[in-house]
Amino acid sequence: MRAILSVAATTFRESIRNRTVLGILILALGFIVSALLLAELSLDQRLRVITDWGLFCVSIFAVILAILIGVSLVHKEVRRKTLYAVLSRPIHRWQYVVGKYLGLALTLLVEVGTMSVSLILLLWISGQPPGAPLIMALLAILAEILLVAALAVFFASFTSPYLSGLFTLGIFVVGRSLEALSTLADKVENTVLHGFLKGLFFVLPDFADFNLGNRVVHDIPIGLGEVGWLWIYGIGYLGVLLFFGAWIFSRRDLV
Amino acid sequence: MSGQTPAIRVRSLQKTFRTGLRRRRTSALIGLDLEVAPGEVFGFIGPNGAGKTTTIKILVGLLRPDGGEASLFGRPVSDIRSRRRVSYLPELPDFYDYLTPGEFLRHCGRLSGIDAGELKRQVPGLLEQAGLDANEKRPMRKFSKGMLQRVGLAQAMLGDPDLYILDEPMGGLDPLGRRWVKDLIADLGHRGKTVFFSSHVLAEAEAVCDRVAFLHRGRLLASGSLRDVLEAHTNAWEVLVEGEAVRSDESLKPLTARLDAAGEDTLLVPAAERPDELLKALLAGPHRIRSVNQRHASLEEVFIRTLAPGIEKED
Repeated sequence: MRAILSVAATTFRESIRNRTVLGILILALGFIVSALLLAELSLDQRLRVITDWGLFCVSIFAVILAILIGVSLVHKEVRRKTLYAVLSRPIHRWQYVVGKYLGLALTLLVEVGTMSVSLILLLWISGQPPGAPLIMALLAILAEILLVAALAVFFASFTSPYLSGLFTLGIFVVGRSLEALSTLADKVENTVLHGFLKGLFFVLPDFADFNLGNRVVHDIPIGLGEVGWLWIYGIGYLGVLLFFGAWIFSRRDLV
Repeated sequence: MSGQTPAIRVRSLQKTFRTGLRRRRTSALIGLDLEVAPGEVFGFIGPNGAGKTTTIKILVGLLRPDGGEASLFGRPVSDIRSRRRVSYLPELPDFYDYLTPGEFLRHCGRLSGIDAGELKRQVPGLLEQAGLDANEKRPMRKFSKGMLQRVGLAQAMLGDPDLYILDEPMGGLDPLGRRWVKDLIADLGHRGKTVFFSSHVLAEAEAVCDRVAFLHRGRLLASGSLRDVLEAHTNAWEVLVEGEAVRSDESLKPLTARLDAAGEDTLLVPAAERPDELLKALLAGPHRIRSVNQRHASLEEVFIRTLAPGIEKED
């Protein structure tokens, strides 16, 4: 456990001090604050625009950060041989993968937390204290991001950063529109393609469920149980990804 | 070798890589046998691509062999416990950009199971020993190659392990740094530690090794104690001649044609022969002898001579 925590703490320190990551966070905060400008252009929808735009920014910038940090974590350490001094010590490779993921998760927690607090403050300043639905939507974004990060770490355990980024982004985009994929599969007559699309529908994570922004904007209640299930689903899914990621990484030659 | 468990034992080790789009097989190690006793300072010598780093990476668990066995202190390298008494310095290492050397050393120490109190005691001393105490608070992205090499050596010394596996420990260092590493290896040897290191800087390797092994294209060409290896190639007679080029003198050709030369005016007579006949012939001719000395081969010369037949065969 000490080895995992040490890898996690080191990953967190290295990521949180990274200037690119800091730059993206500052950009994200700028975009969130720009909601005030957009709100001025709307008629009687000020708070809705701030909420909608703010949640969109938190979600999209968190995905960018998760993919950017996640895919480069392992590759950068292999390329620069940093990993050699770490894995030549008496630790298992799965401990390294899990530690890396936990460090990344902690970084994203701080980043998403900072963006969330700025959105809440913005709404407060605009005259609307944050309600429970907004908090639930932010918690759902956090669960979604942890899953995206696990996808990035999974692919990074055996492919190049470019491919890892492409695969993770691709799955995120498809995962946001799984219903459309299912509809498409039903319309396809070719049995092989139908089976393939249906297979993707069942295997890929359903990211659309994590997107609760519309319900917050339209004042549709979100239950704690619902978000709880999203977290259980996300943790289960990311657990499987980390298991296979660690398994593949343990068999990999570090050339 | 005595009945002691070897610090490093390698038997019939094989490793093949697949490279390029066609996944062509390249053999990096072909049935390598090696044994390093505890307390030895062992130089692992070979040109680029010889398989030194591949062997070292297998020993520390970064690569998996395709065949054969490798063990550290009797434990197979696939068992992570084999690395408990071992430290490793990668070739030209690079570390975390935004961490300070102290943070990195503490991280490595925790991974090796060293407790917090012990780390608090060891880390400042190691930073000082590596000449990094003045840069303790700086992030490592601002470090030069030589400073990173020093960080690498400091992390290798954490916990005072019994076996040091160092891949090109003098790489990236200035002359002062190389001197420090040489002294450090010698000191580890005096303290009974086992040091297994690869190097291109043969003059400095020669100064600290007890035993050496020459590796070429994944095969072991020679190994033995440094003294035995050097003596097998030593004591040639070096005859230095003044005046016109002695090698072009046709009257001396029957004597000089088969001799090695170290320049136009120097002849090397093999140690097994005496130079009397050559000296008589030289004195009888127009040549003046400037000096006659027994010549001791350097490790570099021995290495090149050992490698030459293999290279000729390939050509």
